[in-house]
Amino acid sequence: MDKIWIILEREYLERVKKKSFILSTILTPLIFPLFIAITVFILSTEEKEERVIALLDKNNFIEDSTRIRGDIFIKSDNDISEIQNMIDEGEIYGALEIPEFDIYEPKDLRFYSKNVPSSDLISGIESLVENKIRELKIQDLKLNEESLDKLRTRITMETYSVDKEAEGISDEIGVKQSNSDLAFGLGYFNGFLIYMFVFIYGSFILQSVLDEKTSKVVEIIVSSIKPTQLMMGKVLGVGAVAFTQIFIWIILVTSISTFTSMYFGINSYETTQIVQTEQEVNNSKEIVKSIYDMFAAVDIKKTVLIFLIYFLGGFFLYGAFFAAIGSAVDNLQDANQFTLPISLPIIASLMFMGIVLNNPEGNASFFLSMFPLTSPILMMARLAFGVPDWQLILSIMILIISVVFALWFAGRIYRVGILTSGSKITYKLIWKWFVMKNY
Amino acid sequence: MALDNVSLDVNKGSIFGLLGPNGAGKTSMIRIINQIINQDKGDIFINDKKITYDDVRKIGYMPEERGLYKKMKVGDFLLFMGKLKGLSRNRCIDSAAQWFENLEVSNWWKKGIEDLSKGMSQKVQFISTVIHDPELIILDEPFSGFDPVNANLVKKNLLRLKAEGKTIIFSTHRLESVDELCDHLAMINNSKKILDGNTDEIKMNAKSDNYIIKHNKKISAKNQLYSIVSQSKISQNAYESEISLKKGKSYRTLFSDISKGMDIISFEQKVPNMNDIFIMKVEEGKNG
Repeated sequence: MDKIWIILEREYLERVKKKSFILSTILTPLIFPLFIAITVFILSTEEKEERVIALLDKNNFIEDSTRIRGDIFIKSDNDISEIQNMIDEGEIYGALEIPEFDIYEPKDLRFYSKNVPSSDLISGIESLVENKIRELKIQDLKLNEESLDKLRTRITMETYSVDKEAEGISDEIGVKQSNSDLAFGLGYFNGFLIYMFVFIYGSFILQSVLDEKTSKVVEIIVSSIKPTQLMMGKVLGVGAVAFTQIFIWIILVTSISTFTSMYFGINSYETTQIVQTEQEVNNSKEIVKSIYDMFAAVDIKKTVLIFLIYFLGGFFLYGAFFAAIGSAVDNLQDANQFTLPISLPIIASLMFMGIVLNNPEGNASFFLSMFPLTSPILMMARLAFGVPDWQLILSIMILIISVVFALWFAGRIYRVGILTSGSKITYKLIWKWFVMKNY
Repeated sequence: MALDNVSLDVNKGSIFGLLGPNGAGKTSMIRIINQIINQDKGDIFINDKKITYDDVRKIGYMPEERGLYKKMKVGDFLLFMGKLKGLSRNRCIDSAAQWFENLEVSNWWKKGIEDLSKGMSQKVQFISTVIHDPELIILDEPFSGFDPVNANLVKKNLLRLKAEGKTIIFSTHRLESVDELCDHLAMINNSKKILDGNTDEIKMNAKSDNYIIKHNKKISAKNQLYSIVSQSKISQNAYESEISLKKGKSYRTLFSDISKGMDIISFEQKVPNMNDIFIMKVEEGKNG
């Protein structure tokens, strides 16, 4: 155990001191807010040039000099072919043609322009015309705007999950408020996080084992430590680096998002267009509130614990395979043919995530959250929807057994692989190593 | 098969040379002693007891395929290796300082391994092998990567370690380099041991009845006593001949016979070097 710790320590310090680690740890959480900030900046500084659109409106729906998103509509009595010539020569940007029609059967509205117009513009015109027609219809049908408003209904469904055994979190009868959108979001987030870390850090393990093999330092090490201990130390060391990175990211993201929301929260009312409407602000407040509600409802300690179990399980399971591959091959190019079949279940997990999130109770979801190669990602996706304890326990047991098996399997490959170089690696040869007794 | 019924006896406090061409099985032998790979049959004993994992850990082993962590500092690497061998931090530092001195290098503790030359990293490698003051030191091709001056320095240090009572086993394919170093040696060829024993005895046994004689006149006679293997003029008044003495004749008779007609400048028995012995043994093996 002592020695595993020495290996772990070296591996950890070497990786954490790397410039690439420091940069990626600091920059990754900055990239997204930075991206948003840049977009906001570009949009807010962009001075849109006013474009002229000829208006051939037989119905007089749209008033002269109406503006939509900075474009101005000028009434024209010219012939459509003349207008088309003007567009072609670039004198005006475009033309809107509204023929005479019955308001109950609007048709043949046309927009002409040299380039394809933005969907923003088109939908703006459409809603303008639709609103005008609506007004006309209200008049025509002699309706009252007030009573029309009363017709409009808006409901929000509150969802509850029944769990008699849960300690009365919100109610005595053992129901707790649930939110399926949030469950979906949380499931996706958790699953994706595990996916990302298994992939990124799995390949770090591969790289690290391979480096040790190609730099020939490995034989010196295995003369004072068992190969399996060396492998465990490396896997644990890289795992510790992953934890460090997650930890720093969580801190950075929370502080950055607090800062940015404070900053933009103050400025957002001054800028136009790109800023949320008041209703959206209220919506997001509601979402934030319901996130808090949900976390209050969800047993957060349990969620974190289960996340850690699946994170570690998935990491060790795939890490073991990546370590075995790294020990077998002589260079990264050769590694590719073996990493592909290993990566396949991880990638498939991500594709299956939609199925699981849409039907978390289904047979497919059950199977995928039991199968050890997909369960770390897909059980996490299911978790927010509520999973029976026995399924959780079964899935974790299967995962643990698989991890033990994978580490044992990888260890047997590893002990031979790290001392073998120059031979062409095939699956058959790897099998031979696995069954080889005297190594 | 990498090794076929090879058995070695190494005396405590001696230097043992494991010789043989590339691919003979030396590295396999050494890896088996270190328990890095396991033998199909046979046992390894240390101090008359079967080797244990703890014993293996105490061995100072420098493999043929060796390297260093490029991104580490020399000091960090030595600490890492020392800790793996169960050394405390302070003992590591003291021992390293001592070895820097022994190998005539300045204090490299803070130097990056990437910045070391090949010879320098070989020295660091050597230090990392002996940093824990092992009783048994196993070196696979220890002199590869050293220039002659530094190879000599390492030889000197190996002799010093031997004087301190340490046991050293090393392998090399450069057979000529070991004469002055090994007390015992074994030769391996094609997975089989072809020679084993005390270095001096091996040399004595391999001595032929050939003599290298330098003299001032040409020897032309062919007689009952000897035959001439080769003769060449090496300067104005000097010839060098290799003379093969016939069976049952003494070198005294040869000396007096030749010195009758000319002056003898030098007279010595031809002693084969390890290369000759090796080739002789391989040839014997083929014929037998």
